[in-house]
Amino acid sequence: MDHSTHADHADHADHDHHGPAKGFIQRWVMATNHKDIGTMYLVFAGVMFFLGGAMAMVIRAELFQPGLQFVDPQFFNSMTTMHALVMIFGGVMPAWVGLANWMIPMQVGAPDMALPRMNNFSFWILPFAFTLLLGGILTDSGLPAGGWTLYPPLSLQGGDSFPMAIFAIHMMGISSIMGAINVIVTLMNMRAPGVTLLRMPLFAWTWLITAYLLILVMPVLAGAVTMLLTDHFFGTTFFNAAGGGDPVMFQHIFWFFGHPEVYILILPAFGVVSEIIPTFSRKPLFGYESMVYATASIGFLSFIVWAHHMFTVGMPLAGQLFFMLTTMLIAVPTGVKVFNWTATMWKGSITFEPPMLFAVAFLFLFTIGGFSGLMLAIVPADFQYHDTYFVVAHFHYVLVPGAIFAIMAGIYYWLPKWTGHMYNMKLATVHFWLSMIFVNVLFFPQHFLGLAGMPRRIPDYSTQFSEWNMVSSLGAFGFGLSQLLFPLIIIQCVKGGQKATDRVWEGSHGLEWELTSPPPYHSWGTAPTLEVVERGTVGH
Amino acid sequence: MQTLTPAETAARRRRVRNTALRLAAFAVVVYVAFIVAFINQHQ
Repeated sequence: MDHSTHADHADHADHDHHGPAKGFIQRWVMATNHKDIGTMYLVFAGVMFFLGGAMAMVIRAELFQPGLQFVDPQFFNSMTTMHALVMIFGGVMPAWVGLANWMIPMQVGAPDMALPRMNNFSFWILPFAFTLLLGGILTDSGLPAGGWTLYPPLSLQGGDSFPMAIFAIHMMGISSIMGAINVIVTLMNMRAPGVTLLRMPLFAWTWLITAYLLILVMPVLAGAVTMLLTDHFFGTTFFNAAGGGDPVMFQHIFWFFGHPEVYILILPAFGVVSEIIPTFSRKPLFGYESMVYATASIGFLSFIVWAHHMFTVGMPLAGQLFFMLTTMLIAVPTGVKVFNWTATMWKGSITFEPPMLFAVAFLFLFTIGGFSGLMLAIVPADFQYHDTYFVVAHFHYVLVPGAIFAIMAGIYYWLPKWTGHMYNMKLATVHFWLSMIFVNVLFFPQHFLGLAGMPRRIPDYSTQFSEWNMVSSLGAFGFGLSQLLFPLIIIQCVKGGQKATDRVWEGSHGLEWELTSPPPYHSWGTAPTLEVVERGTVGH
Repeated sequence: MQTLTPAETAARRRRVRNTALRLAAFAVVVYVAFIVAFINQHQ
């Protein structure tokens, strides 16, 4: 690595030599430092991953054999509902916000996020929101069980936990909007001189577009669930056919939020993979600008595909064709990305450290999820696949070896930078291979189950589905157990280990690698010099 | 090292505040307008 960087930021460290505040409340409850808040987001997401994972274990244990084994159907429905809400809003989204908090200021040469107090508030809303959501278990009706999509009229039949869930979703939305505002404001106003938009790393770019998606769709979700609330408690009939309302309208509104939400979960994954693949291929990213434009195209297209989630509700042929074709169109910019990542690796001097293993697995397995998505986009085929396990297999391929593998790749990539220590690479490689094998054992058979006609969201099934359900459940138990290695590796790394260099990886390139490992408490109190910016930025 | 002058720092603070306020206002307007639109549709 280039040791001149030590001198470059030694001066800046003198300006901002003070470390974290003393005492738990001062340091964490009143945190305004982007690294501390990022850490809290990541820890929160980790806890939620294991909670949501435990719910998945209940689901797969119940489905291990046909017949009712362990839980009653109402509780099973609660588990499918809560598994989704916890994983999406508690796991994946906070994990991305945590990574954004840690990395965005370091990557663009900013001293912190632009609005640190709002940053604190947007994190601390989350524990309260999830306490409220999960507190539904203490009510007579139990946890919400109408599905994470909250479709009326079913969701309106919920008991006391219904308003708690609605209020929790409002709080999560407020938290997400504040987080998104912070990212946009930071990236638009806090970049160091010389870090132009087209010099930003892809992770920052994908987050910028994600943040715009969040601000555009979260108020729509909030509006929809507010109307659900008034339908339930104040006698309105927005979604009640008996009063002139339209329950299908809710589905349109929900998926107008829900489809961009899918890209909110996956666009930052594209950013992380676009950082990791060049590093371990020891080549610059192929087609940087086309990656930016492809991300923006995906963001735009995500707003005009929503009704592909509801082809079977009945809509005019023109509508079906429109949503089928726009959905297929998304394969174009996504294909640009997949080909760019492949071209980056082409003739590269590739090594397979844990971040690269997860990134390459992402590339293959996310693409499988993309292909099954294309199959689902075909209207007549979707009439067969709709509400079957094929859909479950599709979105889990996109979200588990897609979003979650990318989160793990990102953490394995930046963890030595954050802690100043290398982690146990052998154990992380074991973690990868166990995850890689079991995730396929878990989800691939669900394609067969869906094609054979097994419906989703059922606690019992016909005996013809027994074998593949057993295989899938075994994969789930293996995947769940192998994830216990992840916190173990992280805790070991935080406690100590071989000293990490500033550059950490031989091929790493970006402003964050110009800082020490671990970075100073205030990263870029003084903006990096133009020479450092020139050396540490990726664009043109 | 590049440092901002006090005037540049103040200008950046203004830009940060204005951008954040505009984005927050946008979110609130979408939320309220959305519900109002549905109320009108139902009258």
